Amino acid sequence: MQLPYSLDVYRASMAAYNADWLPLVLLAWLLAVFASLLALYPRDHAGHWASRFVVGYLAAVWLWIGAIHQLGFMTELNFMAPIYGMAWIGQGLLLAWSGLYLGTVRFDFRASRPGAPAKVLTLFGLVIYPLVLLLLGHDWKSLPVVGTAPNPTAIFTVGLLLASRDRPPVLLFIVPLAWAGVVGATAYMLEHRIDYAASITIVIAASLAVHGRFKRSTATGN
Amino acid sequence: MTENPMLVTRRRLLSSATAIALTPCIGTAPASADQGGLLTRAIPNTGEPIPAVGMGTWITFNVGASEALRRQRLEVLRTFFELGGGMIDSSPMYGSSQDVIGWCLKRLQNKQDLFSATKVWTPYGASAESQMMEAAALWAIDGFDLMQIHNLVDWETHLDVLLGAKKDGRIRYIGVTTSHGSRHREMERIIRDQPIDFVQFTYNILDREAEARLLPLARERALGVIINRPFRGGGLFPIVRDKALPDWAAEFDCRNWAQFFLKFILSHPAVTCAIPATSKVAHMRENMGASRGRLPGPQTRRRMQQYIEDQ
Repeated sequence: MQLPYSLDVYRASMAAYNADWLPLVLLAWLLAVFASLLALYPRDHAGHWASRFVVGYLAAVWLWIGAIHQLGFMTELNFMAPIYGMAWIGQGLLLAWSGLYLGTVRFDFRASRPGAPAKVLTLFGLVIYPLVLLLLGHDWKSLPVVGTAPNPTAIFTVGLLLASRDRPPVLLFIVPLAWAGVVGATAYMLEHRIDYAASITIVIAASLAVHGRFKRSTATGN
Repeated sequence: MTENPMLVTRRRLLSSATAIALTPCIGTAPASADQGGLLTRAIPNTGEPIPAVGMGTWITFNVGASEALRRQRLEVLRTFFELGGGMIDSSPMYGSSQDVIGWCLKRLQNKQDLFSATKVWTPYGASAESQMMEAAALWAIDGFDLMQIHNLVDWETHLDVLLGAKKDGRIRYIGVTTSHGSRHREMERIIRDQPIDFVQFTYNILDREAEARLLPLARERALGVIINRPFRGGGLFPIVRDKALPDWAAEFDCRNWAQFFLKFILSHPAVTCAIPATSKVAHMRENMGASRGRLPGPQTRRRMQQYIEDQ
């Protein structure tokens, strides 16, 4: 089985995408840093605005990546991109509805501290993933980064969800898990090994989220 | 169809002469003509000759908007035409390949022997008519020489559309395609029952399922046969990496492994055209070399097959 494009074509196209949207690429990454600080190191006085900002940011970037990266950019290269685009938009809407409207995703130091997995995954998506690509010889102009590229954004998202105060709804992990499958298959077809790590981290995060859910239920006797 | 109808090209002259010469032979074996050193095959139901080595565009021409990569592909296509290439096969499924081919064609002069071939592919319910029009606009041609139904997707619907387009003169030939050895039974039924001109499927020195039924059936029904995945998606080359050609390959004027694999395919009497894909000028030169010189006979074909299976 093969993808309809090669790795060097994908990198050249990512370089063009990053160049076209450079101010937004930088802004989205900086906002990701801010969001991760709010989520991983929440403060009492921050109130709900911090949680809403984080979830709102996540919803916005999933919508962006669905509409612009997949539907607008990858559709030229990959006949599956329209389907992926719709899934990413769906996840963005789900985050907005579940996280913002229903308020199911909150970050609050009083209830619980984000564990190491949340911090490691968030850091992996934000910094380690693009850094490893750079060290492997990837051109910096084509680096995929959180906020505008799917793989690091998916890792970053599941990391932040693990840091939430309450049990994150399992529903919010369905699309990221499906994306982990896509990433794994792409890693195989393009022989792009770091994406095996990307795929595995998303699966681990989803497993931890479900496991954490189970453990909390047992502790309260439900 | 592809070019100005008043333009006298080598293809048109050969087509007229060959059609007259081959009229008694139509429906039997496709003629292999050595036109100034270039191997051509006659499309069985019309006698029109086309070069036996064409070019596929899966992955190789899907380079998006990158001008640098497009310019590289332009040189590949330039080499293709310089060395006598004719059929270019594409599809809307191949991402930006159709667009990139069109971009390259606009920048080339010596493309009068282009035999344009693409496909309709509508897994999401798009319109075949709109796909055909869009593809023709991208290539800046009035219509395609060959329009195919890709991977048999919704073929019953699309065949009627293509027959209508052929009747209107917007396309000249109709075909159906599969790959990877899939849906051969369904293709056999279509070959037997439907008024098509071409079939396209996978056949190479290791994937020879088509020898049993499809190739003889296509020949019996006087259909043009286009072969995709002649190198198994590139998978044949690792088998022979760092290995020299056997000495006896010189008997059929073979200079490299690409020609070894292609000449095996082209020496089957039912094959009209093979469409290897490449993104490199050097590989294009190797591929086009298979359209020159001798072809292996039946005994040598068996020897070639055994040689590769033994690696």
